[in-house]
Amino acid sequence: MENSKIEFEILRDILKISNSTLNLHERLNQVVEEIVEKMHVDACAIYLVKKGGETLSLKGAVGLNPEMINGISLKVGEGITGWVAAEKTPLAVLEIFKDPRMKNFPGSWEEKYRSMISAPILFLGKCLGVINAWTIEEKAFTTDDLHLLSSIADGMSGSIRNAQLYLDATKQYEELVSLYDISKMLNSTLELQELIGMVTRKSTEFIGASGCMLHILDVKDNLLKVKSMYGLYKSPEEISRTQLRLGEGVAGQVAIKAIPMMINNLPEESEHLLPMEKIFSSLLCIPMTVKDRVIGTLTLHDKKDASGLLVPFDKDDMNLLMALASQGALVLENAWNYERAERLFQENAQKANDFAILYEISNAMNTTMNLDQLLKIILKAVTFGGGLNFNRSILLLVNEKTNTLQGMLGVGPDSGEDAFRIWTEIGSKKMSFKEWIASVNASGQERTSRFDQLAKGIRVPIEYGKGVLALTVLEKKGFNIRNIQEDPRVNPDVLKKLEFESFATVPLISQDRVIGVIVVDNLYNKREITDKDLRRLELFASQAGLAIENAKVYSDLEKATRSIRELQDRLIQSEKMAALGEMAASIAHEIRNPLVSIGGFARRLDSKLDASNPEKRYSRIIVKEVGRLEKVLQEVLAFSRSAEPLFSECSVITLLEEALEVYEESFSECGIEVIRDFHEGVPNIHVDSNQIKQVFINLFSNAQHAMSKGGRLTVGCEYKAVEGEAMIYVSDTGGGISEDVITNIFNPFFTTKHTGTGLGLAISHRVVDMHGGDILVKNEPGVGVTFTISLPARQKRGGISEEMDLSAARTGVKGKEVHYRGQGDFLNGMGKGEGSESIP
Amino acid sequence: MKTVLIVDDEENIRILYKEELADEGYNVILASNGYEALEVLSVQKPDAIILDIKMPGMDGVNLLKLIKERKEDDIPVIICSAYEEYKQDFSLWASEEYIVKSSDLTKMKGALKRILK
Repeated sequence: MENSKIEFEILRDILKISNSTLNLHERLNQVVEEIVEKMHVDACAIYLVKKGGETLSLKGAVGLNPEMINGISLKVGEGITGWVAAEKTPLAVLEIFKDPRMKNFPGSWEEKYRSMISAPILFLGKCLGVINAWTIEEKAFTTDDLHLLSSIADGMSGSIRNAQLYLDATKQYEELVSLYDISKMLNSTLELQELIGMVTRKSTEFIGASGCMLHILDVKDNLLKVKSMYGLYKSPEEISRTQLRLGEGVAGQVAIKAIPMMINNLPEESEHLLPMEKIFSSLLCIPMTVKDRVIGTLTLHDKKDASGLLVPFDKDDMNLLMALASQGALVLENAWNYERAERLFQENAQKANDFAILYEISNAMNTTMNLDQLLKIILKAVTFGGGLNFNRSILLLVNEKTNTLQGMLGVGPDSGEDAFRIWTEIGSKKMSFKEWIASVNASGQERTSRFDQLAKGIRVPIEYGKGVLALTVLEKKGFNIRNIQEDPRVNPDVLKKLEFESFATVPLISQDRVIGVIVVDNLYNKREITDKDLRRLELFASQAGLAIENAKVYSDLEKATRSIRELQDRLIQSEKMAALGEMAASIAHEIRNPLVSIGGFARRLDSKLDASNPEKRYSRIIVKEVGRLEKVLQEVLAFSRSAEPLFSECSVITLLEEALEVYEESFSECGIEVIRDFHEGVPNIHVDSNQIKQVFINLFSNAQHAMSKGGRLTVGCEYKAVEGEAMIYVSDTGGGISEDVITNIFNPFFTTKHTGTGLGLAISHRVVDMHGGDILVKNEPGVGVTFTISLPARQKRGGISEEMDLSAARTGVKGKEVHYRGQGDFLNGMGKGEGSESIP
Repeated sequence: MKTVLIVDDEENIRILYKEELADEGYNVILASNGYEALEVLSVQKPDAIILDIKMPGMDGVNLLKLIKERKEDDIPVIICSAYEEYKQDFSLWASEEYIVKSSDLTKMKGALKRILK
């Protein structure tokens, strides 16, 4: 009865405890205390079977080391407790250390006890846990004792089951909340890297693992690449393998099979493991899939419980992680798509921007046909921030005549400070290329930089072995030189002065021909020249080449137009001169008649007056002055005569004699001795006899003037067979010409004489020139001057008129064959209706 | 006594020539243009003609042509003109002499003397 009373009391208390509002842990503690007190045992403990039913864990105890609560974990079937759980049968052991099933956990204080009683906690045939009780003294527990403990266990089972259900529900709720939180967080950002980091962190925290590694499958090379890690490692550098082949390691296996892997007893199952995976004690690897396609894997390692003890991963962890991974995979996929879309958009925007700038540049290039200005615009475009964005650029053009590349222009700052100033200026004004070009053109603030000067000095022969610049022309392609020192293609001499370190070249091509080269670099911001930069530069260069060619063609055209205009101007000028000449001639002729009367009658008067008559002096003056006027008239008429000479065959000697005749009287008056040095065999010359005679007359006039107090005039003529020229020389002993005078003697209207127009030698020069001859002056100061005239002995020019002349000469006096220069009214009138020909 | 016909539109020139040549012992007839000269020529034949080129009415060129086209083209003609530049043409086809007008009549007198000797 005693026993049943105690049993009743215990069961009542247990039920009271079980139905209390205390939490499971406290309830278990109260139960074990109750048992120790009522059943007169020294220790009591309750193990509970964990989820999954495979392990038992110490949950509440009296008389055992309290630190071991939650710390002792037993497999079902292991130890006495495990045996009870597995067999679902109560058991009493007299001496526990003699029992073969005994498994001692050092430090659990169990070794203090001798005898033990144990009963399973059963609920609907399922073992929820085990209750143990120990005594220090050896005690033979009775069947009553076993019955009592089993009853206590039964009484507790419902409450434990409820508590477990409640815990499960709470845990599931918490997991759902966490999952929801995670997916909310994952969806809150589209930043891929941030997302990946979040997935690894949340997975680790959520499952309670020590760390996590996320591999993403790169479809390009089919490699799994570590994208994020959390926990043990801080950065990818710390692990030996940042990428895995499919099938390699746990992640590789999972990725290829698309099923999760859970390894809890590492490193024994190490077949597929990599050394880096073996350092862990447990692994859980989940494939991340989107629409049945594996995009990566998520690997957790070393799960720990709340007290920091390593615990194995379980099915729940796997399911949870899979849920999380599928969420994560979807979000990652979204983020990728977004990122790809954004990248595409940005690329398109960049391309659109490129084209917009190129369009602007080509517009700017089309605004000018001036080559210099065009070159400037091209280089500005190359260095403009929003344009091609290089720091400095040089433009060289091919000189085809010398086969060299010639620096034309260099654009770029001279120093870093200069560069900074320019860039901030442009940046602060936010100028477009068009505005910038306009402002540069308008302000004219362009000062020649040192860089420009150096650039203009570049000359490179276009041959192999003469450096990259020449190579760019020869090979018709651009070069990107990363290191000027190490590249054997570079001719360092050329570019050293310009401080080039790395640079790129691009040919300017027009109509399949390289017309120049653009060189660029980024000396100041050290930005690397990418292949993309080079492609843009090439695109630009093809445009620029076209523009330069256009400008060149235009400039050629302009030059041609200009020369035509000049020719036109000269023609107008000569027409003006002709008109002026005509006027002068007609005036001169009108003056000549009255002069003849005045002079003629003065001479008559003079001859009638006796020498003693004082009026004789007056008549002399009139005669002399009229003579002077007539000479002036002669000169003016000779000058104003039409430019085209009228050619005929004549004898040089005859012309000389005729000219001498004019001055015969003057020479003898001045006491000038005339010496004739006429050689034989001088052929007839083909000249305008009047003009040539006028030349001789002018020379004689000058000689007479130079030798007014007497002297010797030598007139010579000989034939130079080799040159086919007749050479005439007129030499005086007039003392020569002073140096400052001699340089001017052939200038029109220059004279040293007190009388005369000064036209004499100018006319002579022009006449000889027109005859294809030459007039030279040899001055011997203190002695005299020798003029030498050479004339072609057979003048081919005016061949038609030569024919006419000859026919006219042959047919004698017949009026029909008359021809003359059409000048003067009477001549025009003369030709009318008479069938005579006029050659203008 | 030799007779010389002077054809010139300038009266002063005609007077000058006449007085100078009369002093030289020539019989001088005057005409102021081609028509007057033709009138003279229709009644008498001078030994020589001194002819100006530019004249109103019939000028020297046309007169010269008419003279040369007539059979009595044996009268020597001395052209005496203010125009120097046609000397060559005229000497080629028409006249015995071509003298540029000058206040100094030495050349003209010399030419006359040569022709009529």
